[in-house]
Amino acid sequence: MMLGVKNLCKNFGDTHAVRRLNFQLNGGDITGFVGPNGAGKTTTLRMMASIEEPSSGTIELDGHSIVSNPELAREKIGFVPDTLPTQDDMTVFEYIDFFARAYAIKPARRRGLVNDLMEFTNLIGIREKLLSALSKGMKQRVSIARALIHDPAFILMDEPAAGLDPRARIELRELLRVLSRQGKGILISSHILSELSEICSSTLIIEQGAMLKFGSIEEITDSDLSHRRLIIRPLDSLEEFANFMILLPGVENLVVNGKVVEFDFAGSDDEAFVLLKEIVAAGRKIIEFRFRQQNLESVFMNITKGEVQ
Amino acid sequence: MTALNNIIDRCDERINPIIVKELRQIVRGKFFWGVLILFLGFQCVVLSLSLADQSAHYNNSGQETLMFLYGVLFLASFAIIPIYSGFRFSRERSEGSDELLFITTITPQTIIRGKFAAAFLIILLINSAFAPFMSMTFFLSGVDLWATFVMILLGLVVSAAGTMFQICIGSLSREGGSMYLFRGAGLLFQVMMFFSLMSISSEMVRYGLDRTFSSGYLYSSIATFVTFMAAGTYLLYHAAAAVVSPAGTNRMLPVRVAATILWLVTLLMTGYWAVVSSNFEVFAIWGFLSSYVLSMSCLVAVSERDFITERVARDIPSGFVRGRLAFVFFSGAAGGLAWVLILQILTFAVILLASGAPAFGSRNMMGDFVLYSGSFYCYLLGYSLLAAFIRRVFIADHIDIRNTWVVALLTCAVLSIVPILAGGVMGMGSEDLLIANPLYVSAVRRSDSVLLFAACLAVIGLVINAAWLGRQFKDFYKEMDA
Repeated sequence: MMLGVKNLCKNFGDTHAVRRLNFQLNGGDITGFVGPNGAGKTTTLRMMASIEEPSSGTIELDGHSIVSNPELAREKIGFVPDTLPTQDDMTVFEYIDFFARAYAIKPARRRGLVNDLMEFTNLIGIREKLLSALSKGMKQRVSIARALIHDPAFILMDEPAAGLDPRARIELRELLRVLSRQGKGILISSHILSELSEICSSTLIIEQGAMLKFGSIEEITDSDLSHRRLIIRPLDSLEEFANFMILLPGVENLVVNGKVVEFDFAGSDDEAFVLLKEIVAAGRKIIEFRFRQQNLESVFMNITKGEVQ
Repeated sequence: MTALNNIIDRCDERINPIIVKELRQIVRGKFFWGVLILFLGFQCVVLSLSLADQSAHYNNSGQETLMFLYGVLFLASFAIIPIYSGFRFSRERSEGSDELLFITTITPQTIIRGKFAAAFLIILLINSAFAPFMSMTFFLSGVDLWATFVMILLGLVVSAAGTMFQICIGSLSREGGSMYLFRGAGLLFQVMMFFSLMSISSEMVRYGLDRTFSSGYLYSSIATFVTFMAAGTYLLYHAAAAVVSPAGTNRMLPVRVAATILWLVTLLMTGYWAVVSSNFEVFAIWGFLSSYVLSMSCLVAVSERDFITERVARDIPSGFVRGRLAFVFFSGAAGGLAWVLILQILTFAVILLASGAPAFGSRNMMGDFVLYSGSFYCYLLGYSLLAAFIRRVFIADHIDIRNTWVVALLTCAVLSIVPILAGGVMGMGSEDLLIANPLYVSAVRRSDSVLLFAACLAVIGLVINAAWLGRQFKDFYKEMDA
């Protein structure tokens, strides 16, 4: 199954909340959805869940528009909003049972399904507890159970890890992995980038409603050539080597760090090779020459400006 | 056992999920039990005191006891439970928890039906709990069983209408200021209606049914009353469902179809009364009511979106007649105004035909109808179109199209008040200064100038919005051809 977004736009008066977004989700993929506050993540997720209507563009599920046929989205997409369940006077069982009824699941199937789902999301021990008595983490589990009740092919999650303690976050991560193994495509927005890079197979970065990057974590980190940091370990005197390096073109912000020198190198891989040749040709002995591994956090900080509309 | 389980499962499958949810929540809440126990306690105490008072058997204290008990019951079933249901719905709307329902298979109509049915079941439950106490008043003197029975039944009918009204108010109130405004207005209206209906109920018990309805057509009168209540409830149901429908849906279609059906049903009922009472002036009453309601619909029409969404475009039928009918009935500002205009013309035509009948009586009725209904419609159309222009051209970035009705009311208020203030400052005290106020039509002696002013206002509105209305019309037929 495939969920594709094409030229998606959403305007609120003069504000362009989402501008020409294009990306695609596949079954079994976990895609991180990253952007500063006000970047348009929630609006995009709400449009994909068919709650909000786009100003222009389409969202297609296996080639069928869910903008003109929102019934398609209802069958195949589960949505976990950034707000927790507010029906405080309902028990966990009643809440999930209500949504099972709302999806018109037949009574005979519904009874088993609700219990199975509560077992899967580890809610079975608190099935008769009122929602008002639950912690944030437990309420988030209830919200996920609700989104899974109709066995959707895609799950859209709007900051599900916000406010969760470390244990709840680890449990959520495990839950997502299990769902991904079951073949469900997951789009998850979060500000905890280190966690996203652990579980996501791809990432979408947006700012001011426009897409900045989309691809696998490796593709994204490798594509950011302008902010790479090069690490070289010489056999010569470290101070002498640093004085030599600082004079070379493309070397900026050089620091001596233990037994290595580190500096920003804005060039391509070919230019790095030329630099290496230059160092060796100058008769310098080096035993380590590598780029510092970039992470999602550093890429995010490098490519976003933190501006809101 | 399996057969029984199958039957239970089938019933379970057909139950509206909202009813199950609402009843679970209401019955769990302290509010419901508090109201039930407190009011039952009242009934118990009052009845015990009345029965213990031996002298009560020899006067009309049975009626007084019954009215007190019924007052308590009616307060619960007409005021407290409907207001509580509306308040709960309003809170759900402001929390946004109803949004998640729109990504399930539940429709807005199912939600409103469920809310209404749950509240009405609670009303029935309270009625059945109070019934034994009220039936005991029969042992006291002066109680007409038939009148009591009819009063309770009519009480249930108006309670149903009141419940739907409060649910409709609850659906409207979503954000801060408007939430308090609508809730306050709804509360005030319900309380006012409670006292009015209680006085009618009291009359029924005290003087009997015939004198209360005083027409000689007891059953027809009751049937007319029930039909009007049911019609109002039906229209409010569709209005509430339209308000909660997700953006981009064809939300006005069921409302306009329902309103058109009601227009026809009430016209037929009016025809029946005109024939049986040999008085065609009842058409004028119907005409005034219909025309005023339609005129108010102009405010709703200009607050609708002025472009066709994909979901609306998907449902436009092909074919010359059906396509053109769809423009009038589907969501859209221009279509809404066209729908109001068509029904207004038909209403005027009916009154014109009726005024020609010998049983119409007063010859001035048609003139009055044209003056009052015609000018009111022109005022409302004019202000609505003026507001649509002001919003679109000057304040589109600040005010959403759905709030055009607020701009219309403000424009009307400004144009009604400013001339009076200016006249006061300049020492002018002419009643002509009230001419921009649609409510003061009866206060101005020169009625022809009122009609002329209102017509000019409507024409100006149409002229300045001609391009906007024309564009919507063209867009619709472009989609139809596509």
